[in-house]
Amino acid sequence: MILAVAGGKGGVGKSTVAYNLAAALDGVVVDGDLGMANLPVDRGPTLHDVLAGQAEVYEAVRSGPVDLLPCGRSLAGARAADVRRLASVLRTLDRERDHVVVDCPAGLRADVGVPLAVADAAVLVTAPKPFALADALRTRELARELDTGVVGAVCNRVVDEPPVATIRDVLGAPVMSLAADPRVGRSVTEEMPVVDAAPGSEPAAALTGLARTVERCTEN
Amino acid sequence: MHLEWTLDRTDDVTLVRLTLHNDAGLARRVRLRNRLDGPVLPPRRQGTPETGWDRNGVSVVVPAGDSVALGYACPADPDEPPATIESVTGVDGDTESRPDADVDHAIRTLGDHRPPRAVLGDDTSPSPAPEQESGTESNLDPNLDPTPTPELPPPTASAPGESRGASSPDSAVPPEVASWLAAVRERVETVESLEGSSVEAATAVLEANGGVAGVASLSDELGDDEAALRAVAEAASGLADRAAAADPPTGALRRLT
Repeated sequence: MILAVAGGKGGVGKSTVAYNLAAALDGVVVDGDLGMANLPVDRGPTLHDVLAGQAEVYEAVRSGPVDLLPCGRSLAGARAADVRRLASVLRTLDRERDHVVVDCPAGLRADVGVPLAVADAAVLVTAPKPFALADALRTRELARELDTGVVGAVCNRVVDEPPVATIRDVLGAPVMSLAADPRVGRSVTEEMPVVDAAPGSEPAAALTGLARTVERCTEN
Repeated sequence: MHLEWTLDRTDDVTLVRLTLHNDAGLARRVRLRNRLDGPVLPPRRQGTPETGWDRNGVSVVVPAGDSVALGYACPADPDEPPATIESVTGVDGDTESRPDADVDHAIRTLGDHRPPRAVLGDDTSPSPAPEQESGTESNLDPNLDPTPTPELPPPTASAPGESRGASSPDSAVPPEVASWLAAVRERVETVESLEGSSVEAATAVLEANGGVAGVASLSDELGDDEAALRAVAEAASGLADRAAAADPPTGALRRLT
């Protein structure tokens, strides 16, 4: 199953949600942000190399607390990347793994459209702010156009109680609030997914709940 | 079902415009095959061919009692008819079931994700190769390549060409006249470089020529230059005509002496 984590707006925590959701699903997470990668990278081949035809998918996947296909940081690499190949990269991973979670970039360009088109389902990430919600709505429209169901939305970095009912009505999907918790914020840079680092915490419970929803929706 | 066409030949490419009319009361899926002696260059968006096109032709649904307009390019010479109807079938059950239909749609309709070439600085080496790869047909590349090349030579060829063209007759001009013309040419070029130039470039030219006052006196000088040049041109062409016409009667003079 391929799950696209998208949301339109940058900086709302798509990468954090994708990473932690992949941990809760025991899947592999793909950093699909070809221009501004967020997930950790080391010296090995990256998604840029795979999309430029210079590396095989499995050379670029690195195992860790969450298995990860990192993306390069260079603009030259982003320019050389053929986004069409992303479809076959995701399908290749999907044949070997139960769950492939794609961290989509911000915006509504082809590098969002391709993973959304290939994905079996999408999770939207938004912040409790009107502009973030407007961008999430555009992404939902794109997902609908590409025939990809939105199985849930995450309202991220919540401090006060967000208007969950409004967001649910706007996005047409169940909404999960993820509290502003430093353990969630640190989880990507420290490679400590919150479901492992703080399994009893509220964010861990919320992410596990979302993972079960995703599994339920994509089983059929 | 009948087919009409027009053909245009431009820049070594034949442009084929087709109109398919469906007179029947049912929508029909039509397969058209290109008959020209070359590959079909289909309409593309973001480098991705439109749905239905391949190297040999196109499959398209024509609604009942309606027409569909199509167009493609082909590097081969024009020929009649450019395309033929290969098959006409019903449209039942053949929906877009290709696995990558949505991916193609996304690439076609959404913007290019790639950062512009200009932001890469000098590090452009990796980009040309994948760009060639990303076009599914290598036929596009010969079309793309020549376009920048003819554009590039004219500025480089014409700029030195003009000055050389002007200076080449100078070899026949006496040195004093040549140095006078060179001085005038320099003044003209200085003033010309101020026209339509950027603020930075204009500032540099002003600095090199004694500020606004210097340039103002330069343009006064140019007025005198123009008068002198025209006077010289008139006198010179008059003298040249007389020189050409003058034919001393050397034979008669020799007989006299």
